[in-house]
Amino acid sequence: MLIDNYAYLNKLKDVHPAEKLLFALATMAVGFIPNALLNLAIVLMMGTVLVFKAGIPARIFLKMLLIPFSFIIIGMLTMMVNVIPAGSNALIKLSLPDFNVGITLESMKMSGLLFSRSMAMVSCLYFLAFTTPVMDIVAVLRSMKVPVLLLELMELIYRFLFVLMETSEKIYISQASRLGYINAKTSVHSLGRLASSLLVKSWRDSESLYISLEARGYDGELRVLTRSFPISQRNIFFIVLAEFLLLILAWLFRG
Amino acid sequence: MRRMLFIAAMMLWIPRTALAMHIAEGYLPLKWALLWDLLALPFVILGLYSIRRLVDANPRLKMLLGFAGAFAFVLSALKLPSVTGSCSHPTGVGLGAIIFGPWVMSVLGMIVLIFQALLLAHGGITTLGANTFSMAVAGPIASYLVYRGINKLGGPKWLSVFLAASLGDLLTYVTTSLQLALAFPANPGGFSASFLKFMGIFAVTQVPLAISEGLLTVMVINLLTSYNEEMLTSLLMVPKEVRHER
Repeated sequence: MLIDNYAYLNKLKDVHPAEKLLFALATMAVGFIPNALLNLAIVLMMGTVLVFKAGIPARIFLKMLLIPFSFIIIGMLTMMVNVIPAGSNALIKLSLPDFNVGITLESMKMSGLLFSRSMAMVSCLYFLAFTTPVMDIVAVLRSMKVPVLLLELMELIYRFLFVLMETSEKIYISQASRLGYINAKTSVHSLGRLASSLLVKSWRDSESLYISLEARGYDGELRVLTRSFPISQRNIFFIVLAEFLLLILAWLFRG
Repeated sequence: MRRMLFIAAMMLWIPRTALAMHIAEGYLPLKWALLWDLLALPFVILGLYSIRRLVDANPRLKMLLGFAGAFAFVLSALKLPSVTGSCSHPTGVGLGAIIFGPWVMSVLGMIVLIFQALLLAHGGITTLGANTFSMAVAGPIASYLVYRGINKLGGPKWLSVFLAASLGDLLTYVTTSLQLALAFPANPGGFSASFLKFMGIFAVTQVPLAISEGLLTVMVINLLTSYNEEMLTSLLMVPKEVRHER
């Protein structure tokens, strides 16, 4: 998977994951202040850090920003268009026999704000996702005393995901090359077969994994070595500074 | 090369789901994001307790649950043809709830949502609670109740599976619409007008998808029954103890 590849290869991979998590979450928290300019600043900041510090190609970052677009746009349009009472001043109005449908300045503003906030938060999410491997995030959560069972399941799922992804990819290609997805009917059929054989394989793999673990002395707990990272005071200073500057920006251009 | 093709194909499919199921990152205001986190939390804790009990009784189930979570993730990355010709992704919510019961699904669902956010950019961290509530709590509970209910009434197996999967899917969308409408009431009309608007949009896209999901789940359960009876019974045996305790 694209994001996962970058998480292991980017130039910030040796930075302490807790610092990266702090940077992403603190910026998200600041981003909840309703201010379009602040949101734009967050997108630019995260984009700059990702492209120049982490070495993620700008093209990839921009392309990824488009992913949540369809949800955001559809949701925005739904919110923008309202049934409005006759005589109110709308920007665009469509008169139907019984009522008017239109877009008011207010609903437009609200959707704009929603759009900018989503984009800002999505860039924070990308900062975290592009720079921090899942296993490092799990390690941070472990030091935060999140239940071990949950973390173990996360680790197992993360590992198995790639195993099953590869299998499903192979099955899909061989089905597609035999015209298995030529129309809706055969597609449901093929996908049903794919899903059920994948499930059978999952079950078998889990059985053999358990047997092989047990043969190696498994007692109900998976112990793995985690990497240790140095904590950089310089990075923490910059994170605090960045959040502070964002807050000042939001305060200067409030209202 | 194949890997690249697959990634390229996945990139093409992704935008289409984002529309339907996952509330995008940053979409909910702080108040609502936190509220849904709080509402989803007790179900996840309940799920962890029931998984703990299952795993203590049978340690190999931990591996199986790991694979089940990964399966749900991979399933959600596949393209599902819909009656109208558009495509979306199976959620696997109904299938999981039928096999593992609703409490286990709340935990697996949340983990899958975390990975979807981090690896595929579906959904997000701030909307994790809301998405967990709609997809991993409300959907599975509905599926499970429908499945058990119809079985108890003596309805045919295929019908109970079909309705469980498709109604579970639909309830997920209804919950998502509810969440959006609560956070963004329409200016004249308030919550109910907004709810109707979101439901209207989702009904067009989601009803056909719910039907496809139902058909797919029936097929999977049928194939599993004929293909590997032993496995299915051992899977279906899994949550029995939990079911009786709740």
